[in-house]
Amino acid sequence: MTDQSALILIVEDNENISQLLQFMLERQGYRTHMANDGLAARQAIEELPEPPQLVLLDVMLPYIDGFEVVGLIRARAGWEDVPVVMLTAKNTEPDIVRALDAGASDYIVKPFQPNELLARVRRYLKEKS
Amino acid sequence: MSGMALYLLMVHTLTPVIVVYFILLNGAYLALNVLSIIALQRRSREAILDSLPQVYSGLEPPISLLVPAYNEEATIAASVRSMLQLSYAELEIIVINDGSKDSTLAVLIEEFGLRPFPEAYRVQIATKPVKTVYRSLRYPNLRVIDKDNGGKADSLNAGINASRYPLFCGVDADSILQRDSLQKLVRPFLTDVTMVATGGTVRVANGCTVSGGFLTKVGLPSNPWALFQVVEYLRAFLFGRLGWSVVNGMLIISGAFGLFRKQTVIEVGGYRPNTIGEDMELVVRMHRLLRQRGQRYRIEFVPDPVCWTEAPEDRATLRNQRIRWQRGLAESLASNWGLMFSRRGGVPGWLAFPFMMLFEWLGPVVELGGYFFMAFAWVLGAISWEAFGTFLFLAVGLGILLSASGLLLEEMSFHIYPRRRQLLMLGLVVVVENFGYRQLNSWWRLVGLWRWLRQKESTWGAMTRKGNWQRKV
Amino acid sequence: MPSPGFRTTSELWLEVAWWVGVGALALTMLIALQIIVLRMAARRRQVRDQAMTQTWRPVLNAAMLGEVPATLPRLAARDMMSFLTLWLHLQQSVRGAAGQELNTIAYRLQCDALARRLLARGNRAERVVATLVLGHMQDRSAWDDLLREARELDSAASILALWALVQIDAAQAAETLALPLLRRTDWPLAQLATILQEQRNTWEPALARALGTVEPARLPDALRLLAALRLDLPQAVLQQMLGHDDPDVVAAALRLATSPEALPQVRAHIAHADWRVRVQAARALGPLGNREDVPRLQELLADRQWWVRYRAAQALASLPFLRPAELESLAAGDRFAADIMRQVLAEQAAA
Repeated sequence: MTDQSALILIVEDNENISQLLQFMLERQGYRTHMANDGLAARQAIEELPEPPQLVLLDVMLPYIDGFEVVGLIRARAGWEDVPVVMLTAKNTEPDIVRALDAGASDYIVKPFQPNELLARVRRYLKEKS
Repeated sequence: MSGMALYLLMVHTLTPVIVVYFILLNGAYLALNVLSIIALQRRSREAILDSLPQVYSGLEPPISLLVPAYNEEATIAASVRSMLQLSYAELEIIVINDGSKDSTLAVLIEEFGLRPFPEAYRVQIATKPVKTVYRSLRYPNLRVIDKDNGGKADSLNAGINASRYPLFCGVDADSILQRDSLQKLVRPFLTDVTMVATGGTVRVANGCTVSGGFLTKVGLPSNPWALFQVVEYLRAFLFGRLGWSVVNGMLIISGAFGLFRKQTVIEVGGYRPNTIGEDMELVVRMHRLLRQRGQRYRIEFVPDPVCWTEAPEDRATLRNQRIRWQRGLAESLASNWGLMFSRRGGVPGWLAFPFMMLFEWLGPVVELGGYFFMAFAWVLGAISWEAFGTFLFLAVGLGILLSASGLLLEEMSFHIYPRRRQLLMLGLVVVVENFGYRQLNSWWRLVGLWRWLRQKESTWGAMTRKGNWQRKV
Repeated sequence: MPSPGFRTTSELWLEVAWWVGVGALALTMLIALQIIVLRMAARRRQVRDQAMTQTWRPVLNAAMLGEVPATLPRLAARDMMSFLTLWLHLQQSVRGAAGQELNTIAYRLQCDALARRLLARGNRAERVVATLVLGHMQDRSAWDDLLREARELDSAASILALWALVQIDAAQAAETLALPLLRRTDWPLAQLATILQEQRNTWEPALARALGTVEPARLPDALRLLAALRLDLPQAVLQQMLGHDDPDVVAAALRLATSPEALPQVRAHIAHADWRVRVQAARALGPLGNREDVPRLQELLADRQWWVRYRAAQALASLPFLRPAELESLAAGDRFAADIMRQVLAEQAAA
C-alpha cells in the first residue's frame, strides 16, 4: 500500500455535478483530476503519467462522447484494468447496455445519490489494492 | 435650355422619391428589428428554462437529417462524424452522394463501414435515379444514398423519399452544428401542432475555434470581409427574419439548417430542381399553397446560435455568393408570383412578399440608382453640394442606425461576443460598413438581378456549383 | 443647428432628409449608450453571481453529504434568484437523502415563503423558479397557487406546475388534473412521460376515467398519450374505443392493445378501409399473433401503403415460429412484398 492517495479522473461537463464530485472525493482524501469535455478527457488520457485508480465518466460529453472515451481508456497501455464508472443520464436499457459493452465496469444513473456513489467508489478502490 | 429644364424637373420629382425610398427601406428593417424584440422578450423568459437541466425521455418527434454532398471528400467524414454526435433521442442521418466525381463515396464507405442494403425505396417525389442505398454497420442510424447527379434540390428530394420520420432537417455538408441544435430547432414543433417548418440562423464561423466538427470557442474574424459579414448577418439575416417570424411572414429558411414537416413538403411538391435558391423557393411555395388551401400553419424562426458556417473571405467568392443569392431570390419570387396580394395571402402575401419585391429585389436598383442619380445631379449642378451632402448624410446615417440596432439586439439576446475589444471592433465595423461595403453589396445584387433577367431559366452550371458545393479551404 | 440652404425647390424633402439623418444619428448614440449600459449590468451581475456561488456551493455540497453547518452564511435579497437557480440545478442532479438535505437548508433560509411570494406576484422567470422550488420542497401550502399556474395558457410554466403538484400529492393531482391534461394540446409528450412515469399507479385509473368524459375530437391524442406512457386501459374501455366510428380513435386505441383479450378486435381491423388503422393493427398483431394470423399479415404485405407493408413484414418477422426461409416464401408472390420483406430481414440481420 503506497502512501499516495488514490487518483480519480473525473470527466463531467456539468459544472455543478463536477464540482460536487470533486468536493465529495477530495473530502475522502482522494486526489482528483478534472476534465470537462471529451477533448480534455482525451488529453488527460494521453498526458497523465500514471493511470488513475478510478475513472468517473459522464456519457453525454461535448466533442467526444463517453463511449468513445472508454475506448480510448482501454486502448492506452497500462490503463486496461482501470475501473470506469459511467454516469448515464437516463435509466434506459440501450444506454446501460452500450456503456457496459463499451468496456465500462459499472454505471450510475443520474440523478444519483452521493453516498451511494461514494460507496461504489470505495468498493472499486478497495478491490484494486 | 429645355433639355436642362426637363432634367431639373426630373431631379425635382425624383429626389423626394429617392429620399422616401431610403427612409422606407431602413425604416422597414428597423420595424422588423423592433418586432424581433418582442420575440426576444418571449425567448428571454424561456431562457430561464434553458439554464435548468432538461430531462428528455426520448419521446420528441424523430428527425431525419438530410445531408446532400457533392465532391466533399476532404471534409465529409468529419462533418458526418460530428452529426453522429448530435444529442437527439431518435435521429437518422441520410447522406446523399449526388454523383460526386471525387472519392466522397469511397471515403464514406471506408470511414463508416458502409454496406449496400436492399432498401424498399419509396418514390414520393421524382428524382434522378438512385443507384444504391448503403447502411452503416457501425452506426445503425446512418444511411448513404448514391445517386446520379441532379443538384442539391434533387438530392434533398431523394433524401425525403428515403427518410423514415415525419420531420426532416436539411443541412449543408459544411454546416457546423452544436449538440443541442436539433433540440432547439424542434421546440416550436412540440407545443404547436400547426408548425410546418422552423429555420435556424446561420452565424459566421470565421475566427471561431472549430475542433472535431464542433465549435469550441466563439471569436471575431480578423479578415475584413468576414468582419463585415458578421455585422451584416446581425443587421439583416438574423433579426430581420425573427421579426417576420413573429407575424408568420417568414419567407426564407436557410438551406444550411432548416427543419420541415415531411408530409407538408411532399404535398407542395418537394424541392424544385434546377433552382438556384431552392431553400427559399420551397418556403415561398409553402406559403403560397397553404394559404391557397386556407390551411392553418406556422413557420417559425429560432434565433439561437445553432448553426455556423464559414463565410467567404475574399472578394471574388463573396461576389459570386451574393450574385447567386439575388438570382435565387428573384427566381423564388417569380415562380411564386401568385402569392403577391392573393386573396387569402395574409401577412406573407400582403406584407412579406411585397416587402421582398420592393426592398430586396428592387432594392439594389433604387439604392445604387439613387447614389448615381444624386451624384450625377450634383456634378451637373442641378443640386447644390449641401443637398448632395444631406442625401449622403441621410443614407449613411440610416444605415449606421440599422446596423447599430442589430448590434443592440445581439447584446440583448445572446451576446456571444463578450469581450470589450470585440464590441469595439464591431462598433467600428457598424460605422465603416456603410461607407462602401453596403454599396458594393448592392452592386453585386444588381449584377445578380441583371443575370437573372438575361437568363430567366437558370442552369445549374459550373459557376454556381463551384460557389455552392466546393468547400473553401 | 440651422439647416443649410438649398438651391432647388425640392427643399422640403431635403429638410426632411436632414432631420431624419439627425434623428438617426441621435438614436444611434442612444443605442451605443444602451449597449454599454447592458454590458456593465451584465458584468456586475456576473461578478455577484460568482461571489454567491463561491460562498454557497461548498455549503450546499457539504449539506448534501450530510454535514449541515450550524450557521449559514448570509444571503442577500438580490442574490435570492441566482441562489435558487443553483439550488435547483443541484436538486435536479441528485436524489434521495441529498435532496432532503437541500430541502432542509432551503427551509432554514425560508425559501418556501419567498417562493410562495414569487409565485403569487413575480414575473414569468420568477414564477417558473418558484414552481420548481416548491415542487422539490413539497410545500403543500402552495397547492392552490400551483393549481392556478397549471391551468395557465403558458405551456412551459403550466407543465412545470403539473410536475410540482405531482411531487406534492400525486393522487390528488391526478383527481384534479387528469381531464385537463387530456384536453390540452400543447403539453409535450416527452415531458408528460417524464412527469407521470413514476406515478403510473395513481394516474392510470384517473386517466382511464377521464377518458370517458373527453370530447370526441380529443380522443385520438389522449389515447396516443396513454400509449406513450405505456398505461393500460381497463378492457371494457379499450374495447369500447376499438369499436369507435372514428378511424383516428381506433388507430390510437390499437396502440394500447397489448393483451390477448383485445385480439379478436385487432384481427377485425386488419382489413379496415383506413390505412392508419391497418398499420396499427399489423403492429399490434406482432406480439399478440399466432399461426392463424399469418395469412392475414401476408395479405398486408402487398398493401398499397408502404408503412402497412413495413409493419406487416416486421410483425411477421417477429413471430418466433417463422424462419427467414418461410418468411421469404410468404412474400414471394408480390414484387412490393418481396422488396419490403428483404429490407426487414436485412434490418434484423444488421441489428
